Formats: sequence, structure tokens, C-alpha cells
Amino acid sequence: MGRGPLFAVIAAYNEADAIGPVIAGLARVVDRVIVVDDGSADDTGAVSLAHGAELLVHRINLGQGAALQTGIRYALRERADLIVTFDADGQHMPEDVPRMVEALHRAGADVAIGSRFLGGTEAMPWFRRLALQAAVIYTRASTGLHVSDAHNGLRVFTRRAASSIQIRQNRMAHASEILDEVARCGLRFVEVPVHIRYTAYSIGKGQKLSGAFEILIDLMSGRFFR
Amino acid sequence: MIMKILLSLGLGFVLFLYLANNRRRSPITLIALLGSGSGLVFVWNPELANRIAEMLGVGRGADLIFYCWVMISIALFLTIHFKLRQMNESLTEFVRETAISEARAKKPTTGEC
Repeated sequence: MGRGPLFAVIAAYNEADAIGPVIAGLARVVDRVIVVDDGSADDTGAVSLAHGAELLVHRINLGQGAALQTGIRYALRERADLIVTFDADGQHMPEDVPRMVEALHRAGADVAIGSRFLGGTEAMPWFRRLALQAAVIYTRASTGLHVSDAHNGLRVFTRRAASSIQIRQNRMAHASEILDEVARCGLRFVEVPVHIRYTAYSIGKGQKLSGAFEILIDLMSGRFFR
Repeated sequence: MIMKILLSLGLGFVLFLYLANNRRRSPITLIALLGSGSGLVFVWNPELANRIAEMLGVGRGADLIFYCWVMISIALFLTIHFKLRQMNESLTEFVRETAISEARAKKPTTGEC
């Protein structure tokens, strides 16, 4: 199937230890890999360049949502046709990307969202499962979208969807905000089973249970002051 | 009497600060001017606060001043919150555009295409 370039956008903050293999894996399945170094204090930028990624550097740490929006805007300016968002900590499988792209085209959708609950997980901590299920309940109630995984960092956007969605939540609430935007813009979405591999590293880098309350407050205030 | 003088000096200083430093009449300036101005009047004429409170059905002048203080505090908090939010959005936009304009990739070494 003929299509324009497929870009991957990775938001990275102090990920020098993990990002190399992530870029190498993605480079096999996408046309260009963009890393947004979100004010890291380590060698994330240098490691990314060494592995062949294109690098954008936030001079200060703004948060994952802000970094993704920066990468998406850059990809759109570089005439991306499809944009994949991918976590930097190595928990996603690059082999899921072609399946998501295929599912997106097959369904004629604007957005493909990865779902670990339709796919599979390795070594998922119980508190993470609990927080994610609470997020699903909140998202279903607030957006009306019947999703099974509201905070999966693996997504594919068509150019039209990426142009419509505006991420204004700089920090972790962006995942729910993206689904809000999907509903608000009337974009068609498809959920695709994906596999998530939790490691001690990714668990350490990921959200704590207390972070769920911060996300909720960010979402509420974002909704109120938008 | 000492308390009245201290309060007057404090409120007068706030009034002077806002009048001297804020040529643009933003909501926050107007709230501060109104609060400190009416505070000065009530310090020297507490009966006036009682009469106004009675007229409004609040009870005592002290209660009226307390309710007004709560409302002014909330208004100030929201004003500052909006201002911070606006500044944060501007900062994000600045950092974002700087990052995009300075985008870089690894330069090919000799022998690479």
C-alpha cells in the first residue's frame, strides 16, 4: 500500500540507559525516529543521535505531554503521513507498530490506540493495573469512548488526526486529554492489542499511584480553564 | 489607637504601591485598590461597616469584612492562577519552537551516503 513517511515520536527524560535499543528497534519499522529530549540531565540526546534519531531538545523539562506535542508538530512540518508515539523506557514492542498501522488502514480510522488489556502484559504491578482501570472508568465516563486502555503510550495518528489534536496538558494528563480530543474532534479510532513488557527500569520510571491524583487534578483544571 | 495607626500605615502603603506602580488598571490592581481603600475607611469608621452589614443583612461589620476578604482572596488567587497559566503556555511555546528550530540529526561520517 502506498503511503507517505511514517514518523515515530519519543518523548525522553533521562533515558540514556534505555533509549538506544528503543530507537534501533523502531528504526526497523518506521521511516524516521524523532526523539524529544525533555531537558534531560544525562546523555539522552547524545545517545539518541548516536543511534540515528533526529533530536529536538527542550531547554527545560516541560513534561511528556509537551514533548510529544513538540515532536508531533515537527513531524507534521516534515510532512509526516502517519505519526507513532512510543515510550522511551523500552516497555513497548516495535513489532506492534506495523500491526497498528495495518489495523488503522483496515478500519479506515484516524487514530489507532494500543491496548495492553486486549493484548498482553509481562510483570505488571497490581497498583499499576488498579490505576489504569480507574483511568479507563474515568475516560469512558468523561468522553463516552469505549476504550479498554486509557494510558497506553503507543498510538498511531494519521496526519489529519495529529493536526486536529492539540495537547495542552504538559505532564502526564496528556494521555487522557488525547482521548478527550479524539472525542471532541469526532475522530474515528481503533484499539489494537499490544504487548507491554514491564521491567524494574520501566516501573521505576513510570507513574506512581499518587501521580494518578495529580493527573485527575490536571484534567479537572484543564477542563475548567480550557 | 496604635492599632488603627498601624493598620492605616499598612493599608496606605499598599494603596501607594499600587497607585505608583500600576498605570494599567488590571483587575488585580482594582481589587487591591478597592480592598485597601475601603479598609482605610473602615479602620477609622467601624460604625460604617456595622451599618452597611446591617443594611445587607450580614450581622456585624466584622463579619462583612471577613466575607469580603474571603471573596477578594479567591479573586486574587484566580487572577494569579490565570496569569501563571498564560505564562506557562507562553514558556512552553517558546521552548517548543526553539527545540524545533534547532532540530538536529547525526552528521554522516565519511563513507556514509
